[in-house]
Amino acid sequence: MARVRLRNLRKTFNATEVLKGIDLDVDDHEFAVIVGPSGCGKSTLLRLIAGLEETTAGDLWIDDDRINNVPPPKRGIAMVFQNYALYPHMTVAENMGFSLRLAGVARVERDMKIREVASILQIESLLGRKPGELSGGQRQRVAIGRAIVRNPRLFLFDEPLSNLDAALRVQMRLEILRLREALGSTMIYVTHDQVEAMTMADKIAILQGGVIEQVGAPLDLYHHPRNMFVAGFIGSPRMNFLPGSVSIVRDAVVTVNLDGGTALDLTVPAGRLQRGEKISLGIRPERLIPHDSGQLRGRILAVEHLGSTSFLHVRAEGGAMLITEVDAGNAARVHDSISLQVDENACHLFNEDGEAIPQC
Amino acid sequence: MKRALRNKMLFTVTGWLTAGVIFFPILWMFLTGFKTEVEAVATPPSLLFRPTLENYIEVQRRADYFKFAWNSVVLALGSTLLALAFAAPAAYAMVFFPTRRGKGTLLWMLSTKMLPPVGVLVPIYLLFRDAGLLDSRTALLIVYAAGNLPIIVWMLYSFFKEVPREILEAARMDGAGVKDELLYLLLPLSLPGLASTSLLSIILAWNEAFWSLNLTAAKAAPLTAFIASFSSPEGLFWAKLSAASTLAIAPVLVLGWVSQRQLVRGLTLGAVKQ
Repeated sequence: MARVRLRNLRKTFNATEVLKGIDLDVDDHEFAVIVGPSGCGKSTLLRLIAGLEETTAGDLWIDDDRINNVPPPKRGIAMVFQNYALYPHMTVAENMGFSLRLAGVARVERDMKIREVASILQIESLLGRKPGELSGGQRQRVAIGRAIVRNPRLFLFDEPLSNLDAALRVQMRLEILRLREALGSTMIYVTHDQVEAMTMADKIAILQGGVIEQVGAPLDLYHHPRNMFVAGFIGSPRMNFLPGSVSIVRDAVVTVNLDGGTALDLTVPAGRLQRGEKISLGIRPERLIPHDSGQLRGRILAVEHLGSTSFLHVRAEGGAMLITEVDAGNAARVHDSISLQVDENACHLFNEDGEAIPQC
Repeated sequence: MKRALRNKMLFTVTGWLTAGVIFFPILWMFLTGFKTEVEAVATPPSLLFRPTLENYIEVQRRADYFKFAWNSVVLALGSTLLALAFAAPAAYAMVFFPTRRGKGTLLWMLSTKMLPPVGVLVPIYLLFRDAGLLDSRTALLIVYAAGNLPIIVWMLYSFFKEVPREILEAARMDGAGVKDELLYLLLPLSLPGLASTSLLSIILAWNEAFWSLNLTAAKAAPLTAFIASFSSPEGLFWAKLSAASTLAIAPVLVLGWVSQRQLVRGLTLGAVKQ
């Protein structure tokens, strides 16, 4: 049971402001993912919540407690670290029971609790081993077990899967979700991997340069990015951007001329764009469809076959690089010419400052 | 291939020669201790001789070896414990609460070891005289501990640095205070380093001669003073001096031999990523 509220949270290291006023609400039982490129301040944010760093300004609330000055163990928070941070000289059982031992819990009760959690994570057979004898996936399980044993009201995960190989990562992703169902705790999860964010989160907060760019449900961010950064960050492969300018404005309909010479009519709220204004047109790879009468022409530079689907990398006539997703059976080959159909309704329009202009 | 073999042989021979050069005086001293005074100074040196325990008996008769040895043990162990008690918190603070001046402080501490001790002999002598501590073990304990402190802080600093920060942070999240961190994590995790640091400190204190000769007379004198007492008024008695020296270095030699693995491991710890 925990509701987390961050209000105007700031953190400065020496003279560098790493977090520039973060506001974020995470509801009870919610799985929130903070995602952003490296150096955006996401780990620092997590460490502030954990109490491993002091806040420079702002308020940290869990339920009705302001926890700015509460020492870490008293916050009722458990954290899973990127490199597991297991105690190398202790067995798995001792690792998991360390917090209970420090809290003065009796041995019998401690062992019971450890066994219970170990059975949830299916690591009972490892209890007598030391971390050095475990595989990466097993270590991660132990680290999660150590967090669960404390029965915290809030779980923090700091890029917990980034040291695992791809197959294991998918498996652990599911396992964390399963665990979350079983425990029903509030969780805040930090990652740089937008796929992890999309697949796991109830709510995603996108962080860049110490500022939250947008908060929302995964599909909400995917379909309605507030700016070019979010549009480009969420989705794989990333959204195509085509530079151009507004040539004609007629009430709610604007005609944009892309740099390759293509003209498109788009419906936007009246008054949002002026004639001559520079814009960027964003379109997702799966909405750019090869078609003989397509508006965009170009040449294929590379073809990536993933088996179930293929990606074509195309250099458009204006010079822009495009990616399009096509059926696996598509016969397109490198150096072929290609025409791509732009679905006007699936376009995202961004002004010169990168802000999204909603379409009607 | 042939060339590689020749190089390997060259290195091996050089290695053995160097070891031989270093070991020879110790061997010679050991042998001389079992010769008579006449044989000891004979030219050419007598290689075949009838070993005698006469020197050892004479040495023990003239000065009580065990009294000196006990002083050495107390001083070496005591000063090491004392230095560790100060160095551990200091190194902890430097590693885990770094400031801009941390590195500079560390270097400055080490630089004090570059000064010749004789530079402060007079002030320290006067201080201890006025405090009534001349010829006391307390005086030497303080001087040894303070003297070895920079090296010990430096070594502990590098061992503590090996402990990943996240492990301590995880412990903090688990509810560990500073005391728990030191006791349950830092000390057990840097045990090999701690052992080799202690060993080095013990050896340095055991072999220290300058201060022990200048600050002690009879009561608190360790083995270094015991050796020195055999090179006095009546002239040099090589055989007895050798016997005394052998007795003096034997304990620390055995200690070093037993723990050389530990010592090397400690001194090279962190040189490569494990």
